[in-house]
Amino acid sequence: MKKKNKENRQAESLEQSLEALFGREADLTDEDLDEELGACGIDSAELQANVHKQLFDYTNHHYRTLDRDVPENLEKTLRALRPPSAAEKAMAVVRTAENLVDSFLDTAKTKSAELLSTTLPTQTRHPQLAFRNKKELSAADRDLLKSEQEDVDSSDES
Amino acid sequence: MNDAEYRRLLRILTVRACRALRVAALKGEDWVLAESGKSPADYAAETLIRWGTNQLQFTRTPEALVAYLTKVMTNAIVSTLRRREVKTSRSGKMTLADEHTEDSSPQSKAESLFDLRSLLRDDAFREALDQCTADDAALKEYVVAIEMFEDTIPAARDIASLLGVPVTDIYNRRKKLARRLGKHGFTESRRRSKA
Repeated sequence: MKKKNKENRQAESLEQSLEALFGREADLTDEDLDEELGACGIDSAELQANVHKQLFDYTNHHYRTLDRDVPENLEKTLRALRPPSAAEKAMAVVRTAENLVDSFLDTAKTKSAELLSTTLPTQTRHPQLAFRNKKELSAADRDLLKSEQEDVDSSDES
Repeated sequence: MNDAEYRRLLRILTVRACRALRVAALKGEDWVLAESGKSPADYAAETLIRWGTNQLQFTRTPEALVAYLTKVMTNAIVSTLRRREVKTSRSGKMTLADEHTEDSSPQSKAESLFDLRSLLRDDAFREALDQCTADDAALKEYVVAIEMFEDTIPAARDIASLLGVPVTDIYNRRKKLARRLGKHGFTESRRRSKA
């Protein structure tokens, strides 16, 4: 009992020290957790597969081969940590590829729009506005209108 | 808990195991531990098995489960560390149980083993901290600030107020320090295994 208390005090002391130095693990986001595991040389997907295997072997050894019911929490944990099947992996690859293509197309659209807006000559960038804002007719415009009008009048006469 | 929460729980437990083993491995001449025979993932798996097979008496709300299992696993790690056969020399050489003489260290030493003050005064731990913060003034400042709280374990807001920075800045420094110490341990263990 004395030994147990001592262990508990040490564990408490270790917990407090870890929290003071590094903060609580539960406060970290999923990305933070993955990053810290990565710094320790642990890949999250491999970790999950490894722990699932340990739980799976334990379940087989202590329950399934003895034809005993697997406890609910163990069953749930096993299901949650089950590595993705080949079909699920393939689906994930397809999803990633689709996302990649979408993002590539979006980038291409944005870039080409940017490029057009900066490289086209000023007068062709807003042709409609240039036409609409024209206030006075030039001599060429007047000649053109006059010849058009004459064409219309002559066709009416004939 | 749903599937995603279980997967998150596993990662939280493993991060805790990494931190605890790293700190323990650096602390004191006789407490090096990579040779305990268990990886951080093993500790996490063991805890999930104990939980899954109803070996743990947990009666509180589901929200408290993560903190509870983290504590249970930390206890298990400390319990392993205290076994004579896993107290090894810093060179990484395992001392076999039957070759080991009884631990004659004073009680007080063992009790303060993982106390924050004791950790920060430990030469090996301090050296590792110094290496991890050498190129980062903000991290150095963070460690010095912790030391300034003589008798208490400072909360993030205490350190933030001492340094006059936002509390989120302290959270970021903590994360950075944890990653650096984790990386330091990983690099060290690879170097030792190659030697």
